[in-house]
Amino acid sequence: MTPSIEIRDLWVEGVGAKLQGVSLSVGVGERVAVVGPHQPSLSLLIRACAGFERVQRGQVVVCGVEVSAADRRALLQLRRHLGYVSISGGLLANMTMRDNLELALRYHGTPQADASRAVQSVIADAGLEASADVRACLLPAELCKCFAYLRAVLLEPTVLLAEDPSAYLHPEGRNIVTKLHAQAHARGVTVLVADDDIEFVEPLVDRIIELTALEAAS
Amino acid sequence: MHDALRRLGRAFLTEIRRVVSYATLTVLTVGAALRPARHARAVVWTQAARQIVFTGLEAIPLIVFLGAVGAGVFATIAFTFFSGAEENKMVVDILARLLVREVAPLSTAVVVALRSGAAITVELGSMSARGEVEGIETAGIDPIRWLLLPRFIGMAVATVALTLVFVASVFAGAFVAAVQAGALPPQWSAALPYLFAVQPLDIVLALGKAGLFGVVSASVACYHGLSVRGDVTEIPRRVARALVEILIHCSALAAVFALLVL
Repeated sequence: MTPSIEIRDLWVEGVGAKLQGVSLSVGVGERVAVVGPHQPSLSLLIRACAGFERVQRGQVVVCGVEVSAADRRALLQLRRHLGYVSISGGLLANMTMRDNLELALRYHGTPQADASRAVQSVIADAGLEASADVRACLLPAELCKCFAYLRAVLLEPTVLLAEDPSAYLHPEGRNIVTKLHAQAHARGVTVLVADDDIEFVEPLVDRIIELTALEAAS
Repeated sequence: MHDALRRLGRAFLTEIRRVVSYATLTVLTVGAALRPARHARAVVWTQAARQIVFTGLEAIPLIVFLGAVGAGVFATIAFTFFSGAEENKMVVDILARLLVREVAPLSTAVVVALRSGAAITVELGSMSARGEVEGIETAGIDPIRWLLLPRFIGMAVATVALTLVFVASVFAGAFVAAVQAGALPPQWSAALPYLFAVQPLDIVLALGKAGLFGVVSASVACYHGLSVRGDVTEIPRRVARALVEILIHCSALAAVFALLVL
């Protein structure tokens, strides 16, 4: 299987977390979860794949782009094809959820009417209409996380990256996220998630990789 | 002595590094403006229009008040001391040169910095601290194009437009003061010859400086906003630094301009 994500001997250091010599490969359309006891280190791995961390040593290649050596423009171009969900969601707090979702589509050239239709469709599908016109700063973290997932899949990415998908989610939110993962899988999206909750990620993926304490250190 | 020199050298280098950072941010933003991006244009222009309304339109009453009252006070004092026709002409010349060319762009820049510069630093600082800037990047949105470019356009356009409003207010305020002092009859037509004392070069210089001050204010405000890292308590410190630096850089530029044109 051609790898969609290829990580070789990755060394990276963040706030209170570091990765030492991590290597893994995710094939096209494959779904992989990286688990371990130290969530900040797991998040570091996903952030490095999206180009948000400076790689000290090693190589990260996503969709054929060497993220560890890419410039700002190349990363922006790559992220157009990535769906990325951070722990808190990263939605714009002073915009409604609907506007947050429409912004991503409109920025990439979807006409207003088509963007509104597409957003309404995914919101209705997830059963989140009641919160769609509320500003992000007024909603609980769980709903923000669900809408962040919707934004990530709305752009029809080829790769979906998620840091700690179980964070902030109650059973209802977990159901929505599980459904979105199933839809992404049906479209052949490559998935890499990092979570310390093995029970939650197990049904979402084909393969689980456990980071050893030596690889992921605080 | 040796230590003092070393500290001075370090402070100088820090200042140079900071100025280079502002210049880099400005170059990146101008680059984003010049690069064709057909798709994002509508979204970016909507943001820019919002910034122009906030920075320009909503500041008009304050600018009119400051311009008219400042010029009125200056003219009243001047007409009290000088009462001859020759002296009145000198007062008008001073008003034209000093207020239009020097005071108008700098005063407008100060008002814009206090209102919008501070607001931009707080807004971008909060966005950075909450991970929103990274959040929009994850959706493939260029933060320079979507966040910075509209603010640069808004600040530059609004500062130029507000400088024109300030100049108009200066003349209105000075005219009222001149009528009160008996230096002019109470007809607007009486002020026309004095209006022509302002040279086109004065207006061009004032507007050019205003545009530059707008860009400098946007650059410094955006830089400090985006420099906030995770800790919201950093925001007030960044706002204070941004405002002080905007005032210092704009005043220094005004001084350089004045020396070059004199």
